[in-house]
Amino acid sequence: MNSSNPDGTTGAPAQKRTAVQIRGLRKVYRTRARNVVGVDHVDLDVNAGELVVLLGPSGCGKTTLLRSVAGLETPDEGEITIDGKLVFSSSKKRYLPPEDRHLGMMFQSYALWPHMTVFQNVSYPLTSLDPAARGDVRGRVHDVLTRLGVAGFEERFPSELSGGQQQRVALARALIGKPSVILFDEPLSNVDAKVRRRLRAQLRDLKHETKFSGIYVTHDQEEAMELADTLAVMDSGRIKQLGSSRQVYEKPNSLYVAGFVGEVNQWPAEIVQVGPSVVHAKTNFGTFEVHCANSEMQIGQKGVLAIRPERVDVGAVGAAVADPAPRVRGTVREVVFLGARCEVRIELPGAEVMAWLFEAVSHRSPPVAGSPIDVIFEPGSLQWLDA
Amino acid sequence: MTMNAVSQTVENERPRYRAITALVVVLAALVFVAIFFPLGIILQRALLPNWKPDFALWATTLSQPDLMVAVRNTLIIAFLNTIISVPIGIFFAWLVERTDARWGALSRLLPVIPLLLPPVAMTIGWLFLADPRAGFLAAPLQSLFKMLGLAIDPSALAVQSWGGLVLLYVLFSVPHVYVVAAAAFGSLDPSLEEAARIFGKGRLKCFWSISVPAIRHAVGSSALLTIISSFGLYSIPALLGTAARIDVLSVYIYRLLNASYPPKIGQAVVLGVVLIVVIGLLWLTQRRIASSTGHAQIGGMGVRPNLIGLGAWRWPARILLLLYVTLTSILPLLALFVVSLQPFWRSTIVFDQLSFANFFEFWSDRQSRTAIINSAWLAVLTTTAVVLIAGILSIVGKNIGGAKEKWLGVLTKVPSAIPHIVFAVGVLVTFGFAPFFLNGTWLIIFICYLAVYIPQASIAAESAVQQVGNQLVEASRIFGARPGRTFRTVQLPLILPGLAAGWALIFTLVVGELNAAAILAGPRNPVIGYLILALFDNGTYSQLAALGSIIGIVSGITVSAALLFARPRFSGKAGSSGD
Repeated sequence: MNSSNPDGTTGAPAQKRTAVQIRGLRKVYRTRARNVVGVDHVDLDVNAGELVVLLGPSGCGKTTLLRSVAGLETPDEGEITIDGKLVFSSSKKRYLPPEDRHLGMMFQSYALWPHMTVFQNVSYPLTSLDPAARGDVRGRVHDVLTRLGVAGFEERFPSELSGGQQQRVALARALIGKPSVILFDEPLSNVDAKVRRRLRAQLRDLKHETKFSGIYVTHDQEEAMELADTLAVMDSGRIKQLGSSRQVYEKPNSLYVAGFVGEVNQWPAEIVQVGPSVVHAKTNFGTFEVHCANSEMQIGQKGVLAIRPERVDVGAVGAAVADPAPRVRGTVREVVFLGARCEVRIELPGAEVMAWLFEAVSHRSPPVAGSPIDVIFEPGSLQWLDA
Repeated sequence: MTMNAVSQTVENERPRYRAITALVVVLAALVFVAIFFPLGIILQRALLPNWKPDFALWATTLSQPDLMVAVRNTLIIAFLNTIISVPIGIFFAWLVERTDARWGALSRLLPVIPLLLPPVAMTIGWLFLADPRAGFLAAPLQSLFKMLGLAIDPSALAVQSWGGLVLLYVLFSVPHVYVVAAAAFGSLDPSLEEAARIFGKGRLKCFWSISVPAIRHAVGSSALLTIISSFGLYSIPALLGTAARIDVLSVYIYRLLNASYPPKIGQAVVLGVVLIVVIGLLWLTQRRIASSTGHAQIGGMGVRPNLIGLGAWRWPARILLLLYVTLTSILPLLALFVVSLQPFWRSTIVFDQLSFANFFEFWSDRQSRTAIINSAWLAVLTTTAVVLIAGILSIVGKNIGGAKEKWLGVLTKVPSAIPHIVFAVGVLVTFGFAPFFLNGTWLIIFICYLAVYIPQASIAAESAVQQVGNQLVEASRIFGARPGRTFRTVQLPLILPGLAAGWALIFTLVVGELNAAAILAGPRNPVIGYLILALFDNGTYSQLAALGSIIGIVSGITVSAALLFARPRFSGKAGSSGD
């Protein structure tokens, strides 16, 4: 917080401020049996007003990374800067405890103090500040509770609220101190699907209104894509890919990312021909042309050919198609109706492909199991991924 | 300190933390001196008298013919007590935690009620109930048997007998087993039992083949607990065993010190060491078994378990629980009250003669008055000290974490493996004479109680601290609170109910404490335990009853008050308004 500027904004408006800067962060858990690398040389920037979502399976290091930013874990190597203030540095032997980092946080378990009322819980971050910075505590608590739709519950204890209400009180507590950055540790994993959807929408609105900076940890890819300005997919303590939701989904840089974010058809393949910005990949059921930016591809290289199921279409056998889309003959194995879409599994020579057909778009009757069918891959949608 | 200065002066925070650290170190040191200094002295006296190996003392001690009888009797009682108490305690825990035999929150407390009545009071109560000549139950029972046409010798129903001794040991031990087993059942994944029921196992079969094996860790711990307390228990054999001519080890050790002149301290010490070694070995074995079989499976989130329906057996099960509470608490307390109102102990109640004279007589006697006042002070002081120390140590332990926390936990539990009477001997030889000369003071009793009750206090404190989720403390720090504020506003209020419950339990134990009092208290520093033994030896039973009643009432009031005060006011109705 900059005391010279009462409204909380800093000078130099032209330059985009970095809320959090992480450099070379590494954390190893040492047990008697073995050492487990929690976070492995991670670099990450969170710009002011940006929400970075760390996505990955349990044990990928996303929570360790978040807790290191919070100061609840002490990393082994690296540096963390929050709002221009160096809060951790292994080389300079600096560690600022969490209470001096001016953060907000939402915990997986809500972590509302059960012996305090909603008012006492939400005003807690304010009463930690020195009296001058507090302002009108009651007014500020009322404002933030109103904005989150839980005004009027001030004198209740958390155990007297529903899960969704507790969640919003926890969010109010995280927001009220106008922290430099808000940390979210899987905050929605304990509420049911419907409430979760509503809270996500509310979080997006709030983000739009208050422009807070944040780091959000989740293992739910739908949640991640919905909330992320920037998505960081993590595996084994490293960030595998960093980009917008769309970039990560449409141009995954590895099989791991493609498989973790959304569904994907994948087949073992081998490069048989290399051209400028295009390669030919051979699979069990044919050879396909794939656009590829990587110029270091070599003939004989093994990898995976991948395509999203919604990029796969089907057509009656032999029917003419205008554009020269790659197509393969197969047999329908199974048709599953899923409401908004129809999932079709088709057997190809030595492989299987899954296609998602959106009936509202295609206006046609679904294929019949056991009948022959043409599988059509949308041009430009096939991707080469290194194994 | 301004906000800007904070980031540059992390180092300046250190002195404040250093003061806290120093306090903790001093407390830990105090406790460890109180525990390990007497232990060390005992070992030295027994193994290296005059600082060189000498086994003459061992030869004399172990060659006493009476000793073998006492050892045999102790083993028999420990064995019988364990094989009877453990199944009963576990069965009660299962009934209350896992079946619909429980009704309301009250039934969870029901089996623990006997813990609130000190064993001394229970024993005296039973003496009044089941004495073959003057017991309240003796005459009705005898006439019952006569009616049934059974000629029975009155003394066969005496409580001063093998049967009576084992009965009281069992009544004393069941609640301890229950507490351990109930905790284990409480955290057991209910789906284990549900699966067994789905696959068609009967209710009782489900109990034996699924529930009990699943908490085998707790079964082992509670069996060990029962064996240890059987070895060390003094009040029951002292009050009942003497008349029945059944000597046990704890009474034997007491006699070495108090019934022979000069006191055979050396022999008492040697026996203490033997007991410590035996119990230590049992403890290690149990830990090894426990770690190889793993802990009870803890289920996921707060799932409300489906209770097993007992059907027609529901009320018989409840009656069984009520009968148990009647036998351990209600009947003995009633007997105590009645006798305390009589001018002398007799089995018929003459209403004209009932009065509070015994209580007043007590109060007019200086020695008795001092004993009661001393005990009250000691109970308040030691209990508060022990609970505070244990609370601070477990909070610090949790903050440190890892191996250090584990060791802190183990060290504070050491006294639980040592019979109190042995430990009291250690304290006596360590602090009683030169250079401390504390014999005959209240301080020596305080030191002994401090060490003896640390395990119970730290068990209570640790479970209270464990219940406060890590995230609650982390949240406080994230939202800007320094460790002092975090402790004051988050940790302390949340663990206070647990500490208060521990306080209440230990208070009742100290008030009725007999073991250490028997060794350490005397005419110069009388406490209630000493007074009880004196009244018992003199045969002033109605005053004994008055004393027992006082202990019962004071314990009851203290415990209720502590629990009422500590009841978390925030556990209101959950999720009342929908969202």
